[in-house]
Amino acid sequence: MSRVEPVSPIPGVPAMARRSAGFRSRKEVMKQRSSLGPAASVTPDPRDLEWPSLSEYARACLSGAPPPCAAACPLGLDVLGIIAKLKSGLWPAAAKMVRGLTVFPGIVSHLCAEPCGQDCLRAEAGDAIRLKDIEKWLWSRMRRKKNPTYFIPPQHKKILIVGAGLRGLSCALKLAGRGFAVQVVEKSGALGGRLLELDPDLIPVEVIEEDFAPLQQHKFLSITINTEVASLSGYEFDAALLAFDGAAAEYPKLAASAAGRTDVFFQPESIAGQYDPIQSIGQGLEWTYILEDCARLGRADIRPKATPAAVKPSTCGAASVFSDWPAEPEEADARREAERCLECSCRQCLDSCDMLRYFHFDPKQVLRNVSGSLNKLEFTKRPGMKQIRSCTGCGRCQTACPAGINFKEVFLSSRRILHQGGHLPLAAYDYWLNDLEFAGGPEAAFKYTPQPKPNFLYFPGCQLGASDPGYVLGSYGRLVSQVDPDMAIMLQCCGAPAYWAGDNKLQRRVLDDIRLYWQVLDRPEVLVACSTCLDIFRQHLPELNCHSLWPVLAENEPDDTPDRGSLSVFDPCASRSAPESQAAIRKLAVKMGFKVNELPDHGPRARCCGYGGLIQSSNLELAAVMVGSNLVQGDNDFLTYCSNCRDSFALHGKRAPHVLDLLLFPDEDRSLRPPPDLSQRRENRRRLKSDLGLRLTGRKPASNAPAPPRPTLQFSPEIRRQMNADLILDENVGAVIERAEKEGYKLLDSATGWFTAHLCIGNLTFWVQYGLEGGEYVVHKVYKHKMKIEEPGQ
Amino acid sequence: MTEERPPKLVCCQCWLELQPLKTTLNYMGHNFTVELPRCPQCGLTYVSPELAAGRMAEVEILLEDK
Repeated sequence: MSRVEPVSPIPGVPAMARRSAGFRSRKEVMKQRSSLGPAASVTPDPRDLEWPSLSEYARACLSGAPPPCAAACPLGLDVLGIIAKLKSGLWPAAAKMVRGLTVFPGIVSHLCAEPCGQDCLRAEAGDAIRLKDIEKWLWSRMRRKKNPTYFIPPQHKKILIVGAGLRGLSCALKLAGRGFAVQVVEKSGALGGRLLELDPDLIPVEVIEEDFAPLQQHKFLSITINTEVASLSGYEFDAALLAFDGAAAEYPKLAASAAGRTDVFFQPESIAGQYDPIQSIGQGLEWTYILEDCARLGRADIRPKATPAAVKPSTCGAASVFSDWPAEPEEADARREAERCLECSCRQCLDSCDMLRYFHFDPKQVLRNVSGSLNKLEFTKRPGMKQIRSCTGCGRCQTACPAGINFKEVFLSSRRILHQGGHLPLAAYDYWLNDLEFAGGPEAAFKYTPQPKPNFLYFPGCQLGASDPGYVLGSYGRLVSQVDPDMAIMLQCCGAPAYWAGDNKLQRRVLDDIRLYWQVLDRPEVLVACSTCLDIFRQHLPELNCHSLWPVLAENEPDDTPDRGSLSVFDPCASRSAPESQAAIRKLAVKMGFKVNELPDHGPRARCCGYGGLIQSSNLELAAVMVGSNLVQGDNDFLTYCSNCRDSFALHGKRAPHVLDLLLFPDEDRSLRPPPDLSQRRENRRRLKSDLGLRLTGRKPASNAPAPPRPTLQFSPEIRRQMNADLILDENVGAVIERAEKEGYKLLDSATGWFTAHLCIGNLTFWVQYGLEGGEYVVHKVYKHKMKIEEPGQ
Repeated sequence: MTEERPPKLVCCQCWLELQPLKTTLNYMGHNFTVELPRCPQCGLTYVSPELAAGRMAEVEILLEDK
């Protein structure tokens, strides 16, 4: 095959060089990704899962991560906990929490430099939360109360702390509270170290004395002042901390006695610069863990303190509320201040996903549920099944999570794994998979090429023609006249239902079929009308040179001047990965004379219309919620370019013209054209194949399936509506009645004269109650169920 | 599992009135034994629309989400 120099036939679209035989390696395929985010990947084959494990995702998840204030706090204060207690009016509990976390609440609430306020989100809508003032108020209420004493089981381990600065004292008090016998030795005659050098206006002496009172009364704590520790050799201990400031070099004898000992710890650098009493307390608290480890286990590793990954709160949409802190605050003031707190936590995934919000689980719980579903223990439930089957695959989560968790992939991969294990309820997906078979089968599938190696192949997708065969005929006609008279066309399903149902094998079979035809045509450029098909091809059939249809049509559309009013573009969720489609539709709208009023969730924030992921069969309630949310987004007509979105809106009475309605039928108002029912959708596709075949080849294409002899059925409009809602086709009813009449498998209700028959088709059992009137079968009732009845001879 | 107005059903193959008989239903690997109207000769079963939309659908959902 001679190499042809690639020239782009489509203006604005880069030329794609024809490739020589052979597919790209999996590595190459994985490298070339659309801008979906860090964890997007090719459909992993369940045999070799390459996506990050669920536990990695759970570790990365920021839900439960501290808010910026807590992350900045040198004491790691549990701000959310304290605020929650105050909001509930439980201020004594809040005060206890503060005392436990600050050790010396009086000192902290007087001297803290408030790093928490620097990142407080409330500052964007008011002023930062006055945590320090809250702490001070809590301290003032608790200071005169006696602390309850608790029984502390003794640890029978000794700790030595040299130096009674805040670092040493906080460490000592904490460890004594855990039952260790702590001895503090201080060179000077007073406790507090550099704290005592501070201006007494900043911190009154009595505040310090009150905070230090528990030190004197503690059962496990003994403090010796006016004693210098010259050498450690005179002391007995399981762990020791040299908690004074200054370099080891200043105390050579002490340093020598400590050298080489794994049970003695010393912060090597002297604390240079500004004295920060809160930092000292924070350090003292850190040391408690190391000393405890050492006392218990004989050794401890000093790990650098890990900075917790703070939540990155999204822009504050709250109304501004400023604090109103009086000089003499009361409980009501503290509570009001707590109410101002936004309780920042990472909600990016919840905010972007209707489904996660619907279930009210936090993301870590979701990941646990999924894990529990995939690794089911005997006698336990699969907790995540409903969630796994409720994902629409819209992909909003993929760009939302700051930790890069790809929930879409989690859910869809789980379906594949469950499908492989035979744990997915296949009956739920029967209708859709039958539809896939129909679209790819002899009644609806169609291939045509005017010459053996065409430059282009048009792939309209299976739903466009189902909604209206005119869409496909008209758009194909445009392409032939505007782009290339030798345009090939293929009517086939892209396999999306199989992807959504987790049926990896079926999906591959469909994709292989498409790829084969494409190779037979010598790899033309593929023009794809449906955003979902395009997304599926780019992810699962990346070697196909596919392009969105819409930029092509936009380029070739003349500019129209008359002002035709305003509308809003409803981007289908799958268009998120094809910004060129989104831009092209807007270009088309403007060219046709419309003004575009953007919806709040347009472009990269495109929402699912309720059709995706087959959730119609798993969670009808959620689908209704999603449709509802979409309807209220805007008052203008919605310009759609996905026929499912269009039909879904029309069903609910929302004017939603398809872009092809406007392009192909400019003189008609088709915005409220009622969507065809399920059986009509099939009939439309049969007609499309037949019309297309006639037009292109001059003869009706042979349908390999013989037309089954159908009894004439009569349906009332109510029955039709109900069948549509329950996903039951005319031909299902026909099959039941045909078998019943032919073989006599039917029941007669002697009171009404009606027959009742049933037939198991695939994973479903269909029931029909009918009567015979004037040579026609009048259908009275139609229903179905997934359970199978064990009947002999059926 | 009973209906309010049970129709008088007759099997068209055997011309026998249906009787409540033990029937096995299965879904997702679970078996259930219930009494349903059946032809005493050929075993042809009747499931009412109320049963299918009611109890059956409830159990199906329970099993699917398990």
